[in-house]
Amino acid sequence: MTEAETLLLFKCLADKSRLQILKSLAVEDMYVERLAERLDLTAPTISFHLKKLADVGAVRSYKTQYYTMYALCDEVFKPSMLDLIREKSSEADLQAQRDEAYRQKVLQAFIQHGKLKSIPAQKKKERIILEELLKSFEPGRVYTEREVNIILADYHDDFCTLRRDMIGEHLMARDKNGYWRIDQQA
Amino acid sequence: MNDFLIWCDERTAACQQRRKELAADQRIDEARFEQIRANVYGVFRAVYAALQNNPAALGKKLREIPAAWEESLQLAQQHGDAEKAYIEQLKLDTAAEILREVPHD
Repeated sequence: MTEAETLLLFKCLADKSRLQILKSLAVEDMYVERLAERLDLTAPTISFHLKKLADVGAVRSYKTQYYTMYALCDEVFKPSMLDLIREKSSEADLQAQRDEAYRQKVLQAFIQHGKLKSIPAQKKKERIILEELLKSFEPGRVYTEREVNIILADYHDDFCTLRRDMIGEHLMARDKNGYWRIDQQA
Repeated sequence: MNDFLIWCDERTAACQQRRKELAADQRIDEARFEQIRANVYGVFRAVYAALQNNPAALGKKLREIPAAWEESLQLAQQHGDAEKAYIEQLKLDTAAEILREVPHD
């Protein structure tokens, strides 16, 4: 289900009468007059709501000998709320652009002529800086602590803090053999 | 005040009361329909209040109002716009009820 379809469905369901209609149809298929009687609404009002429900694919109709029957479309309600939330946002590209603009702003504020002016106090900003420094390390290569220190010292005198925070932020890992960068999944 | 105007005010107040109850019960569209009905009473009340001393003009105007809605209903039906058609029919039904109450000389 697309984001637009999800929005339309939720908007349509945010009405007690329509929810009552769906609850009735969950019991069994019904025709307009039966729903009207059951829900104490007029037949035209029921038809109005059914049209809205049909437009978002929540109900379908079929003809029998005497009546047009309405039935619940089960498949529309099968995705979990989490599935719907996890659908890629139509604004994803825009959000990525905003994130990148923010990232550039932080880098410009803290890195000047290839040197780190100070280690950001804010964790979010420090993470951006650390991600940038991480580019100085080759993927897959194991570095000694001394090599890590030399690389980080090019950016800032407090290379010990940077090295520890690289580990703390799970950007690098270490064992008795040395340090290596952890490549983040996209 | 004229009995018809009092009747319009009572009907409008009843619609507004139902609108509030329906909105509180999360029956949003039906609450909107009550507001539409209240507006129709308001339109006819205003026309009657303005033209009650000019029966010819009043009669003409009272015919013109639902005629426009009838036209709008037909257009909505032709274009398969069920929501608009429902609303126009609601306005016409309310107008028919009002016209039965309008005093005739």
